[in-house]
Amino acid sequence: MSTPTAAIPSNIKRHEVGHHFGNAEQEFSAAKLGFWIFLCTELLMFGGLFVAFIYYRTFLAETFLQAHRTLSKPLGVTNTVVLITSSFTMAMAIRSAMVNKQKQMMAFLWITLICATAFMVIKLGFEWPAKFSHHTLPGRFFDLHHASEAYPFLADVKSPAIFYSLYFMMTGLHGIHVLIGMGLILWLIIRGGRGEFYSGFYTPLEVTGLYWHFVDLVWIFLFPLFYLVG
Amino acid sequence: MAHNESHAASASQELHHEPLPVKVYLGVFLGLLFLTFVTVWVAGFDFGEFNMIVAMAVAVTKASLVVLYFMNLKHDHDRLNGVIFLMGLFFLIVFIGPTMWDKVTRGEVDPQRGQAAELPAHGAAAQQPHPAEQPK
Amino acid sequence: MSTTTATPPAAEMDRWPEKHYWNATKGWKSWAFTVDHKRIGMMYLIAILTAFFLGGVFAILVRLELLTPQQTIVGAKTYNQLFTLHGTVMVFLFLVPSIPAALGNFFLPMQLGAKDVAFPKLNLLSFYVYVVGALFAIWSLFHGAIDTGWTFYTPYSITTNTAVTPMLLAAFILGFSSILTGLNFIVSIHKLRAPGMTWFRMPLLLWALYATSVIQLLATPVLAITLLLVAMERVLGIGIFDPAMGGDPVLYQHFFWFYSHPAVYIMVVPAFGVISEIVATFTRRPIFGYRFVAFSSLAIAFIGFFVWGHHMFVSGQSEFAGMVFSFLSFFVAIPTAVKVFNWTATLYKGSIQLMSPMLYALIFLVQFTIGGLTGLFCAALATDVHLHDTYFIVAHFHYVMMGGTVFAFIGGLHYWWPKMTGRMYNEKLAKIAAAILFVGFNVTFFTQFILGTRGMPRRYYNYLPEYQRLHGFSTVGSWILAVGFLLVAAYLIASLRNGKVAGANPWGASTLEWQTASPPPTENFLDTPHVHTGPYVYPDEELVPRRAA
Repeated sequence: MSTPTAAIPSNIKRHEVGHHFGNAEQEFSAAKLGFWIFLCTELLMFGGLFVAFIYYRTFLAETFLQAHRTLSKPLGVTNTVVLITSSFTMAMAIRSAMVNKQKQMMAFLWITLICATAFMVIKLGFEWPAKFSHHTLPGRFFDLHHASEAYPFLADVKSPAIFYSLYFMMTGLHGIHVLIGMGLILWLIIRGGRGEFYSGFYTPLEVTGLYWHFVDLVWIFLFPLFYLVG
Repeated sequence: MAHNESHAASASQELHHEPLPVKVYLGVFLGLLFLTFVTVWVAGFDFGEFNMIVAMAVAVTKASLVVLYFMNLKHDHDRLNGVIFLMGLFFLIVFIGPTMWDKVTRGEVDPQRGQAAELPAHGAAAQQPHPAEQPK
Repeated sequence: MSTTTATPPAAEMDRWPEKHYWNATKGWKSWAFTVDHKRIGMMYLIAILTAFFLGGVFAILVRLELLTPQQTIVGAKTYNQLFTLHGTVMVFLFLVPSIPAALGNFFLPMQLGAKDVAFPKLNLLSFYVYVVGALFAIWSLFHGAIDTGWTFYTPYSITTNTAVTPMLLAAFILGFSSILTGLNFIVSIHKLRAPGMTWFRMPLLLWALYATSVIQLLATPVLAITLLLVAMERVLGIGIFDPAMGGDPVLYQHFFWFYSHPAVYIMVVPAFGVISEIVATFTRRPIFGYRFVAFSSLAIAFIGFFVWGHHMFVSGQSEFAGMVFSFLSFFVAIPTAVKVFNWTATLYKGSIQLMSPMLYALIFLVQFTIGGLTGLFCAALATDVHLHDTYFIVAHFHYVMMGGTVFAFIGGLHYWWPKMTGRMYNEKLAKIAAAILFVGFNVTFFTQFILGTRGMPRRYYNYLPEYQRLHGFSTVGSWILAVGFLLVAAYLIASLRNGKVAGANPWGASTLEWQTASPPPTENFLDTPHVHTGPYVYPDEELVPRRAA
């Protein structure tokens, strides 16, 4: 049971294909191919950090087991749900454009943006400040004396600073990607408001959608690795 | 397959795609929420060595749902996109594998004698980040 | 190749075209905001040649210091900075972009029969990203430079007080330029081939650029994260690579070489593509074993990802890992050898014309073979334990990178110069310069194989007196090289004014870029070419090459 595509509204800007492409299908599939290739590079970049994580998780197992207790599971779960929801609404926004339901598309885009904002607020407004206040900071800023006041077990493990280094680097790089995603979604909202997306052309939505789902994918792995697995 | 004649008829200036039904997206969304619940619930049990495996199995399932349906790989005409993604994963494994194996097998060969060195058990040795042994 | 395309009659093609990509639009803004791949390729060419000059200056200074066993012109720390800058500039600012960004950007769309690359604006972005990266590198140069070696090994790169972080950021940014170029090339080859151009009718340069792009896309992100991690080590002390904090410096080397070994294939595989083009044209024969040569580029790209540990035999890496990496490293020689055999086989019974581009290709065959064979000495674990960090290694990689890639690049520059500029250069001077470069290169670097096997360590600014004769010889070679390069620059620049009008196809070549005017019009072809045959077809009556002496 799929929604029949509505007629193209009259205020829509009709798309013209780039001069070096033959038709819209070629242009669309080229854009997607290009973006999947870019996602491959992102996979390897984040992947490098995951390699470092797996390395130290294996050889500093006790440290990771203890240190991960200092992360807030409720906040982590909330962020996971928020991001999954935003992935859903992003996919729905694209679908709405494909069937010429522009108002729905805009609504879904706004919800996606709000979810993304919520994610950053939870991370930067609650999680990270909690780390700062307990001095469980990356690298040379890790203060065992203060940190072990709140978490005495940290004093008994080797190199706890490395756990927090990886935590901040990985959630930080992920956070930067969320911020960039928010910028892209805002740009889509502006262009959508100008009537640029419809059943005949929604390539920027598709490509941004791929990006956003990738950001969700990274979190799907970050969450259990840092917050759950002892 | 590639056509780059200048300016084809205007019908080919626009896309004509059929979207997936809403219930597919809704189903995937609910599935992801459910799996999130599962992974948190399961983390409350201790399976020992299997903790990581179970967690990763759930994560991989969630990731597959996102990649196949939200990112549309399941219905993508261009199979190449999926191949590209898998290649990225493959080379990530190529990176991790030998790197981990190197660390695990360090110190097993005595550089002077070429035989297995006399070392304490792996667990204890692995916890010591010792400086690299220099062959003389 | 046999095509049907609306080209003007031959006489008109031999004249200087009225409208072409240089004069199509005027003013600096039309260049700064261009999306024409040919203009972008030109801008890249100027940028990388500038980088080559800078890297060369550092090289001359390094060799000057090594003229005498004790301090000659600089102290130890400055010497460390000089060889580090030589390596960093040459690898990241010159070699990695050289053939793909300068020649590839110009000719990939033309050889495909396309109007442009798939994402022209992204192409322009990749150029500006390169410029930003280069500016960071120059900033580092003037604010303390770096002395870590281009390999940035930890923990020294964490503790040294030179301007490491800006240089790390420079290389990080340059990596993105590389990624964007590779992305553009892959999508272009998949989506923009002319009607009738199947994969196996593509010129071999395109196969080489495709394989290179795959490597760029898979390996460069790992470099990016590695450099970012070292920068974070310096700034935040994150400790992942720092033994003082419980980290592992060998882990850094795994991270670094996972990119940097495939990187050497990024640097050399495009050169292979150029050599295929030149050898085909100047023997007037299709390359022997086209499919083998095409697939060998992909094979090198693939195998190249499995061998990085051969840079780490004496790093503290486990001996088992060393053995496996050594074993796998031998395999990468196989597809490379296939190429060398096939080019040689192409020469047999070919109608060989010893024009200057062909001289560079022939020199490449000799020098790259030496470089490749000595790579086997380095890949063998038992010999590498003795050769590692000696001049043998330095000689090996200069033979493949310079004797290989640079000579192929210069050859390609000569080969495509008429197409890019519409002018022929002075062929006699070109032959003389090629001879000077050949002599200079081998005097400089063959000597270093001998120095290495006799125990001279690399990255040392002073040495035992018994090495002085060989070092002196090598330094004189560097001066001969400098003369050769300056001569090349001189006659190429002079040709812009005084060179004979080249016409569309002065070499009698067969690939699509030669079926349009020199310099080409902005849209490359008047009508979309339709391709019916493979890329290297030389009917006897047509396409007779003109000798432009």
